[in-house]
Amino acid sequence: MVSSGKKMKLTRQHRQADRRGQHCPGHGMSCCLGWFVFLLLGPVFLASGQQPVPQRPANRLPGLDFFEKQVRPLLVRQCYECHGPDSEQGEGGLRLDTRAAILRGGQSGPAVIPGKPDQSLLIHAINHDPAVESMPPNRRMKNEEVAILVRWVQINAPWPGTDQAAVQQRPEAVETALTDQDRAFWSFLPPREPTIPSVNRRAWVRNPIDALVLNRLEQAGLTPAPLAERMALIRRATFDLHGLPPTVEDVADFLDDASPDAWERLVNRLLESPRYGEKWGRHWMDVARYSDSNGMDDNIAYAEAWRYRDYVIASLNRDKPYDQFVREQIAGDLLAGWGHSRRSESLVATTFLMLGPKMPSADDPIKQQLDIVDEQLDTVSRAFMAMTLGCARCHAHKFDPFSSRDYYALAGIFRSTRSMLGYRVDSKFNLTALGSETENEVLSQLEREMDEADDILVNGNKVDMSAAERKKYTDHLNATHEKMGKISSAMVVEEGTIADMPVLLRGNHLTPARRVRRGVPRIFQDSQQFKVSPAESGRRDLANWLTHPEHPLTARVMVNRIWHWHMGAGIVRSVDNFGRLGQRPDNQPLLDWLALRFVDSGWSIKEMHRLIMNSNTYRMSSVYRQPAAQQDPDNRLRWRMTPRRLEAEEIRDTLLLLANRLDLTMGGRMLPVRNHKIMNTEEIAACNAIHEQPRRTVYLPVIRSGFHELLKTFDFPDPSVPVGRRNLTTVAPQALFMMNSTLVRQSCQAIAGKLLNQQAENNRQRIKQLYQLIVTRQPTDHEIDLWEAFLQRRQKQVLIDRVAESDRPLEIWTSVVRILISSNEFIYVK
Amino acid sequence: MKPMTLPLHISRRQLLSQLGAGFGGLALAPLLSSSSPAAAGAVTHFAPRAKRVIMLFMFGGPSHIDTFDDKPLLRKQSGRILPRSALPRVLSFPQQLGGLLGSPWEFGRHGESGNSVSELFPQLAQVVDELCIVRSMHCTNPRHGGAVLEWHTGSDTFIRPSMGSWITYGLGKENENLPAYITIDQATSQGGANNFGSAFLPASYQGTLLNGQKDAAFPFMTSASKDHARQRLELDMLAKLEQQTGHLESQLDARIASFELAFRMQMEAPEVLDLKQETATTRAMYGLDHPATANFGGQCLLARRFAERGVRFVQCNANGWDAHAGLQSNHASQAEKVDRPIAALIGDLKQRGLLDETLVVWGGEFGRTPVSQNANGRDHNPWGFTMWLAGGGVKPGTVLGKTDEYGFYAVEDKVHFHDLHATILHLLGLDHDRLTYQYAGRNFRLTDVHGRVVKEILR
Repeated sequence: MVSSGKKMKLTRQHRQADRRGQHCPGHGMSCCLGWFVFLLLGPVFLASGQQPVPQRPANRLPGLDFFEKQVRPLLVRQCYECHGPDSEQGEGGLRLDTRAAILRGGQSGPAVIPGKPDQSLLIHAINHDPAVESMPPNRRMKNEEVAILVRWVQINAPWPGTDQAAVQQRPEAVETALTDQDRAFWSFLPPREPTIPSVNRRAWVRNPIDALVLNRLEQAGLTPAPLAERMALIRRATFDLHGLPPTVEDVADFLDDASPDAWERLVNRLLESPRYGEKWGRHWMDVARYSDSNGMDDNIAYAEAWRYRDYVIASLNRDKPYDQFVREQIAGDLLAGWGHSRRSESLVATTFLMLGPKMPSADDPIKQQLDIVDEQLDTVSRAFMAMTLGCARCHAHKFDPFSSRDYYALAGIFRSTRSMLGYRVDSKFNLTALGSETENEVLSQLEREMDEADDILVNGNKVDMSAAERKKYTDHLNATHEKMGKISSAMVVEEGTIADMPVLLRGNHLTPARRVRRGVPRIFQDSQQFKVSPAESGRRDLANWLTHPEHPLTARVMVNRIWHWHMGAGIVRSVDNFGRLGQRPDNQPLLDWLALRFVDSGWSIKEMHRLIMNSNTYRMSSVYRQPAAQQDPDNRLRWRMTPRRLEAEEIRDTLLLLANRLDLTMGGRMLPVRNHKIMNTEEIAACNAIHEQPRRTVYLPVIRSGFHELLKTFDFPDPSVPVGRRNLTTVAPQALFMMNSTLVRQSCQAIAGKLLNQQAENNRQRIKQLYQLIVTRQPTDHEIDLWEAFLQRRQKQVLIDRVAESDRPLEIWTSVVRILISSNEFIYVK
Repeated sequence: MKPMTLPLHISRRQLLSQLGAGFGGLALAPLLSSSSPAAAGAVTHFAPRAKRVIMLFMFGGPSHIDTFDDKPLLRKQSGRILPRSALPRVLSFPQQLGGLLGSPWEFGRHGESGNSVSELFPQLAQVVDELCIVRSMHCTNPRHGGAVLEWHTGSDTFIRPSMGSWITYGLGKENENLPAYITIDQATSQGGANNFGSAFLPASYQGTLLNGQKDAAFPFMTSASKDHARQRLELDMLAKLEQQTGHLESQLDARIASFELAFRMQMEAPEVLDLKQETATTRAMYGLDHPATANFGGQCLLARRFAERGVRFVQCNANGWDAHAGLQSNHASQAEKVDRPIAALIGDLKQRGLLDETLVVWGGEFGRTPVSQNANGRDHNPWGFTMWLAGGGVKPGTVLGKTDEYGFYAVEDKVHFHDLHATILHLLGLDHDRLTYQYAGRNFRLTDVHGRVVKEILR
């Protein structure tokens, strides 16, 4: 492994060499080379301008004599055994017997970039640079021979029979030119303030959202659905903001409230409840791929992840401005230093970067780190910009205007950030103490001890260890874990070794090309002005750039997510992809208007809820109308509210609430496993046992590769990637869950028991009570008749089944509850 | 199978949200992406040689050089210490490695093919003419979790859909009342549910984990007839209520249908899981009456019953091959557990005419080192090992590939997991280059950017 320290040194030396490059007084080329090779033991590139590139007469390449006398014999002697004319494809797909073949290169990419020895794989290879495969294998060319090839590349690799046009043909797949068409793509242009259109049904318009929606409906000859009934509205609003149904009392209060602003006050009241942060925090946790374990090969416990979950919930409850929320998650450690009053909150936010699945058992340390960098880069791009930048790791993005250069500019920022203690096998993620700098030093010392003991035990760096010695290290390791567990700490990033990254050809770290300055993709208009603070990774600058009020994506992407979570579909339906492969906005003026108001309001998420929920667009009924459905089956024009199926968490929380079992304690550590521990069968069983606790589902541990049956069945999203839009399936296992699961059975029994304890004159009244509780409405007379018939049939059945008389009412009413819980009306919010 | 048709009133989006070929998917094949042949209305990309797969997964890594890859030189030089530099990099406990360790088991040539099988598998040796043995497997990850994920999902770096999910996504369901992808007793460690998960494919393509065989049951099913009678009454009432609300929306109607489907599945599942319906001869053939073979025999018999009923992908799991020490006792007992059941499965499938259309695949996540570990065990060896296939379009009675003379590295006709994945899909009529799912801005494949169909083993 090349330690990062060593790499750093090389880079610095390299830069010095660059500066001196114009003159290398007193040194011949081979001498200079010797100095590099023997003192640096690293890649040898001649600084540019060592030998001024001769001006070429047209159609005549210089140095052909040099090539024939020195280069060709050398290639024949040293390389042609494997890469010559007799080698068919050539080893590694590389042949070195024509210029075209050399420029095309082999599996690792072009062998030579004319004029650029430092970017030419061939030169790296013959220098036995550890980052690439050494050539010739098992032996080194003489320094003079290396110098010949370096010089040949530097003078543009002349070759007889090739013309100048060929020289300029550079296989530069890492960088694609931006076209006007790229720049004009809608999502890269800043939001435009729309004209609020005039509409015919002006009375329907409560705020500009309605005008922007109604305008489109009228153009299409459609009308909006009538307003939903009050009972449906309070159920919709409560589920939307709390993930729970309204209580019977809440409903009664709202129905009795005759004041004109009853609705607005209801929305405000719901937004002020801490239940709000639990519901919307969970939405954000989908985007943040929140998990309490690593998943993958080693399913390591993320025992401090809960702090981030609590941070998200608290941030939403306090209506933390979204721009600040974003900045903290990317660079919270830099925004609030030791001693800052908001240090610990800000620090915990960066757990966001750490939550991804990692491969700590990968035995290639560089790849391990780069995979983590890739995951962070991809998550940040998707979560905040709805862009799939991760695609540009190996080649220019196939659809969006991102080149590999853009990727590595951004990757440099995350590579300069430290996530793990090391990147060897079984490396451990970084922890930072929350208390004080002194305490953090203690923690760092313990981390080093853990790492050392662990390295010895796991990586076997100490050969022939006796059993007693092994025990000594094991005991020490356990003691260290125990001490570490006593320090309040968070799983967060730190600044690492600050450096730009080279473009890696085809994403392979064994084929580095030239370095790119850390930065943001060039498609963004302000990318030229973007500069990283020299002493920092660049996360702070990235966070500031992302939350600049004029960033074309950040505000749009978030208001679109909010819209999606309220309305069941985003204005841009592909909420995680605003690129070419994503969908275009159904109503761009509306999206832009919302984005601009979001920024105007100081990025207030709660203000966005008010704006949306106070519109008549939100308050429409979900009633199905055949003609409108035929014209606009996907409801892109919003001719009604789309019925929304309850999410997995809502189903569980509601059942517990209705059964009077829901424990509303907020926050705290739930994972019954210590940090770094690998979650095997026993630990996963312990986590599943936690799921028996009647806490809100958002607080239950999320174990990658082992999540709970209910969650899995009802489309809980894959917590390894950002998911802004959950799948919604309707499959038989969901029905089986309603029919046979313990949770549903126990809940139905408890609800039936509660019902039977209430005063009721007759069965008809009981049915009414149950409808109010479960589906927030009054049953029709016909429905009550149906139920009475059912009760009679069920009565007969319990007699046949010889159920004891005292158990019969509970048995029968449990059935009633289960049927109502199974109905569409329960599981869909209208 | 005839091409499916879709009711016109259901929009594509609704289909997206409702349909699945997995456990309990509704009566239509998925229309999720035009690159799934089932979704596009075609049956497969090209004529399939097999309709389904039975994977016999040997978790822990069975030793190739003690089972199907005889190494006379290794036996001859047993005890010789190789210089450390000559050893491949071994990760778990290199300090415990010793000298070369010849196989303690004799190899014999069997059948008309005369292919060699060690005495660990006396029953399997009887059907060696059905096997297509690949002795040049290799993968990249030397640790259980990584290699197990590599085998099941094609990636040890990212969470990806499992092979069985891709296959059910590609082929759709043959039997509406059973899950299309079932795995029996699969370990929940080392990648856990990701090994049979659907990742970004819709959840309906995930594998259904069947626990145990004594009282094998699918999750959330009851078999009590009293419950069935009650549920019938409840579902009838539910249907009446839903009629009252009188909606025309297919997503809501689909949900009512899903309850009916669930009920039917619940009625049928106990029948398929009931091994007592098999004759005493069959049960004995699978080794159900011997403690050592009862478990895996039960798995194999269930696999045959699932295969008969059109389940697309069944995985049987034999855990415990990780012989870092005590190779002799470990492998003897492991082999005993699976030898008879596997031989029975192959014979039984053949006798019932199912072997031609069922691809059986045997193997673990890697092989084991030719050098000893802890004196009498072997470490992990992902650089060269053996897997075999049988039935469904592969050449019977053949051997492909070679490892070096000790058995460290695959050296001839190397077959990576990606290549075998491509081959398995090919045998099912699916082109691994074209079976894609668009997600997060790009098309994903089981084989990512790799994979070569191993034409040499196709019949």
